[in-house]
Amino acid sequence: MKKGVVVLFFLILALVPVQLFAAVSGDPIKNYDCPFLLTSAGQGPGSKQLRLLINLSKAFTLEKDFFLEDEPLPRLAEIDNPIVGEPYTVLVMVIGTTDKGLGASGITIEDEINNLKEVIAKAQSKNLPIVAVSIEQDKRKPGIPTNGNERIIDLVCPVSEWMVVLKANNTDGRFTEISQKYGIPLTIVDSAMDFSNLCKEIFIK
Amino acid sequence: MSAKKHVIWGSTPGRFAGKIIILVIACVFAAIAGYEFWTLRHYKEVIVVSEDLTEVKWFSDYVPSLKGTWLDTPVFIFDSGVEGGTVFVNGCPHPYEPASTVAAYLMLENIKVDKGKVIIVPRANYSGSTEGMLGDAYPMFFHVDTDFGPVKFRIGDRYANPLDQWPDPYTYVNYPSGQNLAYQDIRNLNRTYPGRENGTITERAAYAVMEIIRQEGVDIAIDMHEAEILYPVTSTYVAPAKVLDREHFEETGEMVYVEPEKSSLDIAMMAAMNIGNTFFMKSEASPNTLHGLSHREWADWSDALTFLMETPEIFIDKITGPRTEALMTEGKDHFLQVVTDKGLTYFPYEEDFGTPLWYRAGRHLSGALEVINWAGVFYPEMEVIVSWPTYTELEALENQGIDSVGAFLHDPNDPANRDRAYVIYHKPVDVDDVL
Amino acid sequence: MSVTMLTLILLIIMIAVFVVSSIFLKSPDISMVIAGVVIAICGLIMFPELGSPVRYLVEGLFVNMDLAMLFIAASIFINIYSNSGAVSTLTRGIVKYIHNKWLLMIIMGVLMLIPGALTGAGSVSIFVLGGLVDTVFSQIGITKRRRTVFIFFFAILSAAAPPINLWTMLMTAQANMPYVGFTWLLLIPIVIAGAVCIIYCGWGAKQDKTPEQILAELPPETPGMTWWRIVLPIVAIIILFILGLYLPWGLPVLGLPLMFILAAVVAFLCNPKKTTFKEYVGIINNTMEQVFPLVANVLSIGVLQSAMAATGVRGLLGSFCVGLPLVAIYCTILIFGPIMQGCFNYGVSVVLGGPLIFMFNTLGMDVTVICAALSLIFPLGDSLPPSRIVGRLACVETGEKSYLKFFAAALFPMLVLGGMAVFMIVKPAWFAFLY
Repeated sequence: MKKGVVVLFFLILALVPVQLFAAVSGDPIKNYDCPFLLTSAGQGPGSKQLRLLINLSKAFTLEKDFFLEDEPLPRLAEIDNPIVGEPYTVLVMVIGTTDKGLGASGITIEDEINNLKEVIAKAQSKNLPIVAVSIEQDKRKPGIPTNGNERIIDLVCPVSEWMVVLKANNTDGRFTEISQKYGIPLTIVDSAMDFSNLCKEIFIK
Repeated sequence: MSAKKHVIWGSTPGRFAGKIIILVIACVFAAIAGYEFWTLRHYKEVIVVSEDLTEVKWFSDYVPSLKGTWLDTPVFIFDSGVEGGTVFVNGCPHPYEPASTVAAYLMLENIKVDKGKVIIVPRANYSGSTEGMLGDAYPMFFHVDTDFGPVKFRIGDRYANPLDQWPDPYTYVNYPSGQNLAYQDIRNLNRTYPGRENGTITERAAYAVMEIIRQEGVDIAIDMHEAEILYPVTSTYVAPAKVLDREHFEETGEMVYVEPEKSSLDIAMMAAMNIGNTFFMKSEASPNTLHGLSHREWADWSDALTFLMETPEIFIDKITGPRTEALMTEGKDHFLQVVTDKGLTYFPYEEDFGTPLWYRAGRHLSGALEVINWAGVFYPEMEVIVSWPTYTELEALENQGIDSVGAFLHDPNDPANRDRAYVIYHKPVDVDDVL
Repeated sequence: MSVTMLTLILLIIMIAVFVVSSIFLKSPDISMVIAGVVIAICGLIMFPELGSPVRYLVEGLFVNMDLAMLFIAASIFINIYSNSGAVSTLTRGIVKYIHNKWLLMIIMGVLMLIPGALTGAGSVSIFVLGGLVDTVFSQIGITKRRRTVFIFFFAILSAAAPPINLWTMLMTAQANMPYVGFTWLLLIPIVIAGAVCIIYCGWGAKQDKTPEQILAELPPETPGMTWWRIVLPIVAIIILFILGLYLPWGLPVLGLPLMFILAAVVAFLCNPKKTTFKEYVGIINNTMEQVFPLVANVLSIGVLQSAMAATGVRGLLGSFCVGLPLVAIYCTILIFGPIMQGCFNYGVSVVLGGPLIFMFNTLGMDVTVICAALSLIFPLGDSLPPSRIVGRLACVETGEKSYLKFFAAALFPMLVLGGMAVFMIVKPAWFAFLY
């Protein structure tokens, strides 16, 4: 497995050299100590995508430096009783609804939003900063404010202390607007792959 | 209820003559349509398979009771002889999504395998390709231009032909999940997985697919589909985030889902991110609670990494303009442009470009290669080195005004190709009997 | 001329031909076929690349073939069952033991829900129980018009009722949703609307006859008829349903038509009267006469449906409805939904239901609730032309002469059901707790 990861790392470098030079713009990146908690805001696969990219960076160990918990009730419990053994320093919420879950995901958008409100309240009560990440492409529906993704952006972004957003997801200036309105720093990345390098600069072991 | 008596012979001569005329017209309609139905049912496609072919098996080699049925179908195996992973590519699970078949044919005709083994089924639901979508007015065939003349391919239905499996139950209960699905889904190959060895013929075909995956030790299983652009899961890889704990299920009958040791979803996400430079593709996790589909059941009932790929196919959207062959092969539709402009579709649809067949087939060709490459990167023991035409190659030819699909097809009448020509049918047919 | 204009012209031609043909031929069924053929020919002139329409018009005949066979089989069953004297004995029993008007209406309402709930077709409820309800209600002073409304309304409720709601099934199949979670979402509005209908139909009805007087007017008791002879055929069909649902993998798929034929065989064996072979032939002949208009109807609608799909008229209607602003959809869904049902029968789920589900999903609304709500709206269209299947059948059952007056009388309960469904569409989140 270890060998695999090494091979993988080098292959990424070989296959997508452009990714080496992470195209990052906007506000400067912030720093957080480990451990950090990842969760999905919308039950889409974006949080798993971020976990994959963090794993690819080879810089962090799951269940030690960070953890992923998407399930609504367990993630509330995770904030109180971290599996990593010490309190989390930051909650990374990856925005994106599940498209494959039409009636089948076992959770409605209303349930998810209600649970996210609890998660946010709990994080705030513990002074746990929230970082909003939008990494999944083509989830947004600009101009349709009732769309699940748009509602979650409205819920999570204003209470975050930093937003990291894929360039393609901000073509309508949606996140820029939130950034200006609430005074929240916004960092834009050109490609989702950039996160793999970026995470090494953000999180400090 | 009052029963009105219909008197045929005792009516006026005019009425009687009228009835005879109507009957004659009906017979003419029936004869013309009957001939067309027969033509579709028995039309035999011929392809020239790559020199790398090592073996041809049939679904009936895995489930003998399928022999002689219209759901038997050829399975092409390309073994490099070099130790590596095994890939299974499933074409035409839904015949009314023809880019899946076209992609499979382009793979078969041009494949080169340097490491590992590749198994390709070009028409997984053969029966379904022998009838039209009732009430949907699909054309029967589409044509591809080649330098040896136009080549005709079948389209077909979403379901197996009722001539081969009928009647439907009043509700379909998927085995073994017990989930209720729509009645006609009992003839839907991608709702009947993992199948039953002694079930309906569609369930047996599904079981044959599972047996190919299990018996051939498949590591990477890819299912090729097309989807309407109103459906959020178009342009998508679907892969399971969690899989069934089979041991627990066998002991208790309870379906519990756990994170697999090897993650298809990680590979799908990696593939989607990387191929995003060429065409837009995203990834979605297969829900644990929707049963019968390949991306759920293949992963639950075998050890293979499983992937389903969707391309944008506007014919499936139903709300299109006139349903011509060009709509199928070029995908230019004004009504869908209007709906897209309102932000309701999940594909950046441009009527001028449409969703041409080469584009959809090309997405499958490169989409499959991307998954195979990344699986090898993540799990080197699964590495398969394989090539076939890519999206970029097709696009380059199209930019030169060449029908790119046709450019990669070979002439079965060319003596140099004759011994590699295969008839795609539900039973073995000598190519000399067809050409 | 743009595709929109051309398809709009085709739509106008279609409506005009249907109306004119209906006036002259007095047959909506033949008129549907004529309208279908005319727009197919006009479509061919406007879009020559469509090619010969003969095949898809004939294909259309098979869209509802299963439904037609179900109607025939269910009618054969009920006629053989009635012939044995079971229905008249049952009617006498009900009149003898149940004297309270409201209780009687509730029991008949619940009974009427069952056949349609199990088969998914409201017409079956009318075949099985329409006559009995008509007879019993006529004796307790309910007017013919209100009886027709009751039979019609409970028939459409039965079609929408779980476990088998074909509209929901077809929409979930198209949107890749599991067919689960709909029981209470469908049942609660159905119970409320059913209660309203009972009050509406029973209000003011005066029972001026004693049960003895009523009994004297009913057909006499059949000698030799026992409770088990009455119950066995019904038990047989219920057992077949339960086996299909709970032992789906232990039995071959029978299909609804064969299930009713088997129940008819049980009814034949339970018949205490001596009935000759010739009499049975007569019964079957009569059954075919009764059911012929309905069979003609569902087969004809398939032809029109195919022609509308091929020529783009379906796309015009579908894209127009989906493209409406949300508020406009809320305001007009009670008009468009039923009208499209009148045009497409169950096909409305695919033509309008599927795209609407996708649209509401994009708008972030709970599609399970919306799917249930649409499944409550579409059945209302079974009272609308061109098909108006259930409405027509209810009128035939009671001998109601004025369809328009019946329709006006049925509007109130229909609006109650429709109103609830629209409310569910506007505020789906409020109803999510029901699944």
